[in-house]
Amino acid sequence: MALADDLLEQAKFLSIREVGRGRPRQASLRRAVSTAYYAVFHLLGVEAASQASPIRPRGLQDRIQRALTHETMRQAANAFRSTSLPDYVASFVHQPIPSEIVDIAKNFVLLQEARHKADYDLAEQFDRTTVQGLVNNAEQVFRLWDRVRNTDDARVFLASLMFWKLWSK
Amino acid sequence: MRVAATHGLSPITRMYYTSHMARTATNRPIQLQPGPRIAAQGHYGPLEIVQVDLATRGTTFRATSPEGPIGPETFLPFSMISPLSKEDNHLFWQMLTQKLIEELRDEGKLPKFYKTFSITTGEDSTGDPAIYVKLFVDAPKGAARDSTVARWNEFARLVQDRLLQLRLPRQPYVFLGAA
Repeated sequence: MALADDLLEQAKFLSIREVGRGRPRQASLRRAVSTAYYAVFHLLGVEAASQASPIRPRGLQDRIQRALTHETMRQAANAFRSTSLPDYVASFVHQPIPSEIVDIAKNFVLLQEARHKADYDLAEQFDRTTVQGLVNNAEQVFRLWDRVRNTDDARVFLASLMFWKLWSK
Repeated sequence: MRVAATHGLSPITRMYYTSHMARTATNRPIQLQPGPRIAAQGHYGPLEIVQVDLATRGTTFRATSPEGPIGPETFLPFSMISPLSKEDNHLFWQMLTQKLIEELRDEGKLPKFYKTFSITTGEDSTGDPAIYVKLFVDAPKGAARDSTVARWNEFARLVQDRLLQLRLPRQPYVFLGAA
């Protein structure tokens, strides 16, 4: 099983941990949110790296994946979620952008924002409903990605996640 | 205390103020909740929003005095107004979200499990202005079923989509919460 799938499974486990034992611990809920985001991050990261790099030499794809940054991926996803792509990207994708890609982008942005709160904002209190919702968002990304991963639009999306800042050159 | 004087106002404005009035034991309207105070390009003096309109992505406002709203109603897009204080800012976004919820109710798209919402404004993790909307749903004790969570999320996505369509000056983030 791939790392992304394992992370999703762990996020789900943490989101429903401590059921029937009073209020769930904030640590479990926060880790669930963070893990749900990283499940999606690695799902898309592996796909972006495999698109950008040959399989050999061994380890090269892993190294390429390290080039992905949360910030760049967020910027690209934000543009897809608001369907406001610059011309040099828009010319490569179908219009309107397939709803699956837009929904993946929306969920990515939402999960990254939630992950930031879960990892750093101690003033934020999470409840199980919020967290189950976010894990469900991550699951939806996996399902949607399965549907579109072999399309040209998905390839442009992956390239955007990796090269967003460089594409405007 | 501000005395409500709704005569002479347009039906829409009157409806807004009436909905915000408190009533005494004799059912006499005595007070109204002031709308968010704003600064608006090309307008001077104390201004107060009386209505937000999602279809045109703008606000109707008018000058205000201690006795209540005065002067004609004026319309400007969201992008051309700015709430005066933190409280006004909160009130404005609260008003906008409430309007969105009312529209969904009118369209028959407000599910039974939805109870209420809360909003927070601030900066998101990238430093952009953001609005966080939390939709409180009727959640069971313990964990909810996957199919239930999926239905909640469908509604959350609908609200987020509507907010995104408005192309607001704040990034919208919609989360669920237990009522």
